Amino acid sequence: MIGSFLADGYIPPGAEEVFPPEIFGQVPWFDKAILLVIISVFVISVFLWAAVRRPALVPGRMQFTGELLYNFVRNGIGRDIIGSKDYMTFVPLLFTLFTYIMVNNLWGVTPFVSFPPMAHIAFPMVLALIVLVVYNVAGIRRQGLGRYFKDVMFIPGVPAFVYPILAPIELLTILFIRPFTLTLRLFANMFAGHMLLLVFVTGAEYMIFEVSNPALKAAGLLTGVLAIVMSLFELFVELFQAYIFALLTALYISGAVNEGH
Amino acid sequence: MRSGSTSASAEAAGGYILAGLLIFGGVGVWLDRTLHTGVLTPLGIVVGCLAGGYLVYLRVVRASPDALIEEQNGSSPPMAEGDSR
Repeated sequence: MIGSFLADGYIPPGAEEVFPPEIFGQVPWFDKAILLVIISVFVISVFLWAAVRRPALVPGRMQFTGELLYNFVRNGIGRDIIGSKDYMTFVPLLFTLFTYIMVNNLWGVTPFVSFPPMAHIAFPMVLALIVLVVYNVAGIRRQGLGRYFKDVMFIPGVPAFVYPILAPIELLTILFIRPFTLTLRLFANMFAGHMLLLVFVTGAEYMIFEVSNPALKAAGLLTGVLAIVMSLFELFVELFQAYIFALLTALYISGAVNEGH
Repeated sequence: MRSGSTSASAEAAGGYILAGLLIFGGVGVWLDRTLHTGVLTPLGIVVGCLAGGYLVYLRVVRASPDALIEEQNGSSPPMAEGDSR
């Protein structure tokens, strides 16, 4: 059945889906992903402006939502992970990362848009590089260059003969593996989710409208229902990935600024 | 670090295994090519994974709040007042 289905002319979505064509021919870098990122920044700015425009003791809906979001990041991620002594310095970064990733991810389940910019590896990569610079600079400023790397590479209470094995792993982890896994986790989740939704939606559309076989039409209807279920699941994944990215950033900063990490 | 970061610690722990695998697996590949042998790559991978696992123990398991309290008290962590757990 699948063979005849493909032979009928169904073209499944491929990796080229995350490389949308440019919007203006003369500006090759200005594509749908860039446009969505710009709109996201605008949406976040307007939302936050509206939330704090008229601060009141009894908050309105916008203020309440803004405060809820901010308190979640400040207390739930920043203070709990970094600790009450240092966390406030990093809350602006954590809040920016969380809201920026969340809004950009939500484009993936927005009708008529259906494209999460984070499915394009360049965006998470730049965010991970920012995180790499921040936690290393924070650690070096707090402890000094020599002590920071000594603290990272030589764990107290470990036999000295193990250091030549563990030290390179620690060094590679803080300089390369952490930004790499941050990038890969966000990119892969968004890319896979986007592909999955596309397969469900285009498959359902093709089976319902293009195929004459009644069994395939019924399967198309079922696929359409599953596409809605998958969209809800994808919504959860998108929110969760924004949380995980901010949480891991806080964890890395905590390790860098707290002595004896 | 509070308990809320446990899942993030587990996520971060995977990085240690990956780093160990890359470094010692890479050294194994290089030595195998240089010395014209065939056992050093798998050996490097095993050593790298074990070393990464040991780092996970040191950095994540041993450094967890419960383990630290246990180490200090020599017993299971005390329950805070009003802590229903």
